[in-house]
Amino acid sequence: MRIVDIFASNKNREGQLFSVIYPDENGDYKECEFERLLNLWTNVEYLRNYAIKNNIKYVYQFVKSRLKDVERIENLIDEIFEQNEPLDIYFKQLWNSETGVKLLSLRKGKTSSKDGLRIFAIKIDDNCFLITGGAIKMSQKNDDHPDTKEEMKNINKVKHYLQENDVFDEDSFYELLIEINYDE
Amino acid sequence: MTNKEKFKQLVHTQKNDIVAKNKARIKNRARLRAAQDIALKVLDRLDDLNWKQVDLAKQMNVSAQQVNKIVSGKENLTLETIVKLEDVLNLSILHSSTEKKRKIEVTEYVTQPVKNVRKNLESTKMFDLASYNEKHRYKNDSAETSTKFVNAS
Repeated sequence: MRIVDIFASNKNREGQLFSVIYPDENGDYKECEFERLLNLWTNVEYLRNYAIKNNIKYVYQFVKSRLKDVERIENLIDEIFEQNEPLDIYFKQLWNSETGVKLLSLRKGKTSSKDGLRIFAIKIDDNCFLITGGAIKMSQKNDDHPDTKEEMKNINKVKHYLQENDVFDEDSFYELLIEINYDE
Repeated sequence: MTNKEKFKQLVHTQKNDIVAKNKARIKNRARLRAAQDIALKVLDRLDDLNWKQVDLAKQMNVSAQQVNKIVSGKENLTLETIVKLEDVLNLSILHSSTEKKRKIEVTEYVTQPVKNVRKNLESTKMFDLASYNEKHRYKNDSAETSTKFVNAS
């Protein structure tokens, strides 16, 4: 797996939003997950086939709604990049029960309550997120649909990869705890 | 070394133009929406005709990849391609949503109640053409024109 900086083109924004690149079937690293998802979600044929495969009653409306959702994501990412808005406005806690400071907090990108698309990410630090994948939201619980279920596996795989590479090793964990206690 | 510093060591220096591509999509949004509408129309029509994309490619004498681009809704279609699609699929594409909207507006105007039309005409009597012409230094033949105008209504 590789990690790229999405905002690397601007020196003032770099180091905030990252994305994973998974190797393709030939072992090559091409599109990062963020780019792959936006390409997929703006593909009318893909969306239409997806709706039919998932027995959506109003296919036309489904496609149009998802295309609208992507436009909202595009706008928000551009706004964050141009106006240096905090990424927390987009990436909310994945588990609604999660409270307080959590190490490598799992997040979901959601533009509004009507947003039918989810981008999954891990919070690395303040205003620093790593996108691990995404899916069309088809069920209330992520484990109830194969696509979101697969994404939950991916996000946990990436989390383990980070831990294996000493991101949030034990020392960092205690450093953070000390900082929190000191602040209190 | 902080956690973020450790993380940054894992980041690959591979260049990307994701932000630029995002901006381009926003800039070209109107065109993309039109291409998406066309893609949906074409896909629906293919289903109606029970055709595969390969069949359409053959009929249009283009590559299957070209058809695939059309139905993805991302292609900047030429007029030639649109006319070809209309012809082969017997489908109205150029009759876009804006034209539909205009048609609705015209229909509403034509069919508005006669009393409203009369009311509008009556309100035009309030307009004093003579003063207007005088104010804007137009040729002073307004008195006659103004009378005719009121009489006509």
